[in-house]
Amino acid sequence: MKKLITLLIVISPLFLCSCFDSREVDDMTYVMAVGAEKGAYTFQLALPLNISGDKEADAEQEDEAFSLYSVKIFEDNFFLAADKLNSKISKTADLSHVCLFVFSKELAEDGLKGFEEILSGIEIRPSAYLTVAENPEDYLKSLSSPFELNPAKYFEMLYSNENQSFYESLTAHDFLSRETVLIPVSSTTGGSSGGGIVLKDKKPVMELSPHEVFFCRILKGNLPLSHFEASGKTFEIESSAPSKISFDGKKAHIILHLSGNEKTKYRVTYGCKKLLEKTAEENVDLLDLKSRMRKGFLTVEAFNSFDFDLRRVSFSLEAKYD
Amino acid sequence: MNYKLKKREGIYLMINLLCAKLFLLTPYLFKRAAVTNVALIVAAVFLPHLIVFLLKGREAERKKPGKIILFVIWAFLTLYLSFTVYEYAGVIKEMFFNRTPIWFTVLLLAAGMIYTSSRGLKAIGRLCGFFVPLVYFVCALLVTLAFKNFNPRLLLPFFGSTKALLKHGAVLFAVPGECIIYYLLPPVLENKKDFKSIFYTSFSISFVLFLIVCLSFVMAGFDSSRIMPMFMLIRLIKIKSFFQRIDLVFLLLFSISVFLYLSAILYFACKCFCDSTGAGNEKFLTLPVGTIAAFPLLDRLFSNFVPFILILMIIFPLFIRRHKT
Repeated sequence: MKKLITLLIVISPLFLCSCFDSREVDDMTYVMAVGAEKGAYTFQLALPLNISGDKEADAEQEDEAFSLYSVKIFEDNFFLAADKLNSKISKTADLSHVCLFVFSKELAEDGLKGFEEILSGIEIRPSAYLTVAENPEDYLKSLSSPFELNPAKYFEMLYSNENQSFYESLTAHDFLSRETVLIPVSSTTGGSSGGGIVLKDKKPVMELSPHEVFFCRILKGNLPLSHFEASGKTFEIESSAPSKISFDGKKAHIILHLSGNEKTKYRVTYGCKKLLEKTAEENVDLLDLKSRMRKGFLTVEAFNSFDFDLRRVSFSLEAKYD
Repeated sequence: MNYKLKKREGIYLMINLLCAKLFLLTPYLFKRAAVTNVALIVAAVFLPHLIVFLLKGREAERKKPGKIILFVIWAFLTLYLSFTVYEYAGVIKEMFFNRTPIWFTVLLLAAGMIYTSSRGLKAIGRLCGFFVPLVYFVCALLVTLAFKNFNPRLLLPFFGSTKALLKHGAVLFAVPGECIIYYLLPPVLENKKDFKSIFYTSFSISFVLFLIVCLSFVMAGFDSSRIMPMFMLIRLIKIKSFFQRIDLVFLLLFSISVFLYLSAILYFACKCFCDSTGAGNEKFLTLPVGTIAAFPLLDRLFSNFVPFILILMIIFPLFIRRHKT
């Protein structure tokens, strides 16, 4: 009897918190993507019945077969918008499964500093992908795939770095922990189109075309196996190791690690150098070169007071093929 | 008959007492003071305790602290208990139980620690022997899995920020304040000769664990005091698309570690009180002392004095004096 009472006392706290924070799975709906624009937020919710696959019987209604549903809330504040969402739908919205955060181009052009608090909170996971679209609402509505029932997997496949060459994914963790980031731009026709906006201290400083993003990924060493045109022929190219960067005074020497045909060498190094020169002109530290100089300083104060001007740096590139 | 701790249990008990803070906001406090190379501060914070042990360790093996010192240690441990209960309850509330009033979470924690410590050293020692290796092995494994998201360059410049160190550094010297319990340990050990090896093993393991978690927190580039740092690190783990969102599973393990920490501190607080005042069995004191620790005013009243009291805990072992048993 004594043992039974002890066991009950030990186990009971596990259930007690539900007095206040109890949430039935039935009462919840999960937000999979959020679109942010000036004065409004679009929440894309998962439709559990469609995810479970019960809709197969209605295969004729293709539009309804997809597992996401969008609701737009007109509100400046994200948290207030999330609260208002609950009054628009019959369930309680949960943000813990957000996989994608889409910013409108207008918002991105004004800077995304205000979103740091939202993205660093407990609600949004560090692995959530960030992107920019002309109109987030239209963009989210355009997302549909007959291949995936599970929206989380759909977003993972669509936005991860592994499947794309002209698009570099950005997660909430990267956005928060880096000074200069490249936020990808997506087209309203659906999926990810490539290209991106470079943000410095969360403010936009320059735009990159899809081809420039391609070279940026070569420089960073995270380009998956892709195709590249050189000398009128198409070759395979891959870069899976980070570039080796060393400084000789004001000259940065960069060694690219590539695999594929060496005939691409000239065009690749030319494209990468052009990109570096373009970013250097605007003093944009896309490769985080300043942080490579940290070891030369003893204190944070000395490092912060160091005026690192990329415009004074020249680049020499070399490509090494496996 | 009073239960005596085996060497293994003693080591795990002390590891848990020193490292349970990793599951609170402590790694954030280290990062706030160091900004970059947190290793220097971790070493600087642990070093005084090592020096004091080298000076007084041998004496502590043979003698017990005086009654006044024991009474002050009781006051310190009770205060410390109060803070830890509130810190953990606050973190848990902020992260998961938003709608649950904080008194309820505190009540749950207090009930658990009072019950466990009232069961005595045997229960605490055996639970530590079982859970502590598991918890800290998992902790080290999780940090390793999150490693690909780390940026080692964030550890430089080597000496960090002098301004931040001056502003936030002093309070950190009290972080391994639980080292005071080493000096209460010899009488409860099965073999007093194990005392030294318990100190060196648990102290060095705790130091390494502290170092790993604090360095990881800095390298991950986080800068938030709202979420438990260890929890933030786990949220980074992502192995393909099928193995993610595993953080909540491990939160239970971390809670066990904090529970054991609270129970052990409460037990030793009661023991100190009994030894200093000659009041009977420490088991009967767990309820009143635990209630005092969970009393909310204590947190509000003494918050400004705590850093100074904690720094004093490094000095107390120096006052260990001969005591006839």
